[in-house]
Amino acid sequence: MIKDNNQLDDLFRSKLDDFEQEPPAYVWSRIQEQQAGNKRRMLFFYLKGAGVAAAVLLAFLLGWQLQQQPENLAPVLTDHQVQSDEKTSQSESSDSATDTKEGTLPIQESTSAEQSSGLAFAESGRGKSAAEKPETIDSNNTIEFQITANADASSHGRQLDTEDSENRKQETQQFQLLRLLHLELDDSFKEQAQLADLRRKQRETATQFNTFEQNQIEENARLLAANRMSESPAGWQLGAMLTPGVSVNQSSQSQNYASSMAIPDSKDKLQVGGGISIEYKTHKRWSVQSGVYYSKLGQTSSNQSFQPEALYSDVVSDGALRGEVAYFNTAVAVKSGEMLMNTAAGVVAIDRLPTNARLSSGFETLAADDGILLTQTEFEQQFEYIEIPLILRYQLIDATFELQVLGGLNTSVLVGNNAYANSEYGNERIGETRDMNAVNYSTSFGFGLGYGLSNKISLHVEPQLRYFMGSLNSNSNVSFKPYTIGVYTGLSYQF
Amino acid sequence: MILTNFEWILKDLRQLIIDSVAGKSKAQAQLYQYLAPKMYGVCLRYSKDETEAEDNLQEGFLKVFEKIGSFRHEGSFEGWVRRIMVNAALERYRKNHLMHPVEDMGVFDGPELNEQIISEMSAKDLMKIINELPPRYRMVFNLYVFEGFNHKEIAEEMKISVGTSKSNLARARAILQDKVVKVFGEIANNYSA
Repeated sequence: MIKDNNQLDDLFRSKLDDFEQEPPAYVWSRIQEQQAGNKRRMLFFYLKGAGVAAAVLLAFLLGWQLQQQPENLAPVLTDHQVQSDEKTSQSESSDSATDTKEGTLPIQESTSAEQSSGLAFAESGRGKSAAEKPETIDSNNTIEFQITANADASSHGRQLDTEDSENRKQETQQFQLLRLLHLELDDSFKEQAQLADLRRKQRETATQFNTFEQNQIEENARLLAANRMSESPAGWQLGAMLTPGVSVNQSSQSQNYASSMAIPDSKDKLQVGGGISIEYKTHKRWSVQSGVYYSKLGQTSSNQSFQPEALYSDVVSDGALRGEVAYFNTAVAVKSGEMLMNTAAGVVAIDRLPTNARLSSGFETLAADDGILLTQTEFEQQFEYIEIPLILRYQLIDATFELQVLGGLNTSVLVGNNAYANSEYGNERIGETRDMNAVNYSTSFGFGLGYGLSNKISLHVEPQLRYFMGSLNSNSNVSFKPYTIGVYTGLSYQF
Repeated sequence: MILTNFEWILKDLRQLIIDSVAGKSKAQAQLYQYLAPKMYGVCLRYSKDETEAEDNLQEGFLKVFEKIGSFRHEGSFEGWVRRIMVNAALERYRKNHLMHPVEDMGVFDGPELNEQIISEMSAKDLMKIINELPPRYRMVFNLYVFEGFNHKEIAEEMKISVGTSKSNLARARAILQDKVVKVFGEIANNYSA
């Protein structure tokens, strides 16, 4: 007899603690399915995250690029120098005897200017000009010798002299410009002025040779950067695109839904969209593109026509129905003041009866439908989207004619949802499609062909295949996942 | 063949866990195969029927594979998985039954139960009786008898008072005794002298 609770517990424990039973096989399948679903959700989450991150990065890069604009002063500086260099070489060739004077004179002038401003360069200039003085005096005193040995002197002495004087000219011009810049900075940034002071002190302590070298290195770096920029001209690219495309509708419905559904038309309608694209060339061959596009998708449904002549031949006299075309009718549900029609893309809520249609009560009881729309109208549902793509492009051929392979993700926001009836009375709006998702995601894949019309402007033709990742309609009875084949055509401008 | 398979699994349980952490589906399948019958047994004790137990098992294993990376290889893996199953059952209980408290009834003396009867009953019969207990009684009985929780712990886990836990356990025991007797149609008193 069990009076003690512990005894009862022990007995249950002994029987059931190690109890085992094989669970049904479908439990494991369900676990796997759910795991896969979770993984997909995570992947999708990461994709969305990557999209957002890429958009932020693009915005950052754009901002950075704009910040970098003042750096473009560098090439201007070099242009100026090249011009002055040409001038000096011209004057040198016109008069070889005075060229040394002309060459050294500006330096002496400039060095005196430097002295007054307290720059270390003054000292260096003086040092150099002093070293050259004997040469100058020598050339003045021995004119005859110079005439006879004109060719030699001009080929050897001039070479040395002009090199030196050119360099000095470059230096002084640079310094003058740099000083101007510094002065401007002094006015606008006090901290910068302090920094500039520090720099000046550094220069004072540096030897003449170091300052000279340093400037050369700086200038070379600038030139190299400028060259690099001209090598990969892309950077940013702004484009305007027109996108004629065909959407191939792929849909499936539950059997119950499909039993009272308007017949979807298989003919694919050409829809034209368009938009503005912005592309950033991240590397020589890689680029990232985004933009804003407008696009349209459509689904047409109709009643199938048939020849009544064939159907009623035994009851109607011969020829009475010849050439006549009749239509099957569309089932609609009439509930609490609403008229609903099932289509391949979703339920259309009809708020206005098409002109040529009559509503009849159902002759036969179809599931949940008690109305029949008697019409030979073609129904068309139109969905308008604003799309923001995030496309990665890889350049296969990078020349005047360019070829890219591209792929990416698009976010489509529904901005228009209308249903129309097309009949001999024209195109009438009859309502809209229910349960359309406001935001959808699709993947793109395609090729980009480009032709450079000029340095900055190029023509693009880009066939792209786009596939929606989920149904555009949230109705559980309908899966509406069209894919579109579009040819993005337009012009782009590089800057 | 199956036995050797399981022997291998036991030997390489650690490797299986490591592979499962890495997301290898084959390792996860083997781990499930090895532990599912035991855990299904645990889930059945906490459920009113097999469907609920299956759901519990599914949720539990999803949690196991999600959290397997946090298993430190210190204690028993089976114990760790079992605790996850119990937690899943508790979670389910909280979600479904917290808003519908069971009317507390006073402890009553049911028919007395003979030890012999219980020893003759199959585990499946006993499981069925546990399944038929009201959810809260079943939960308290399971946590107390099988998981070794004390009333304070049960009260915390189930968000009830210690007194309620105690009375629920007593009530569960009384019902169990009563059911066992009824199922077998024998009065324990017959055996008492």
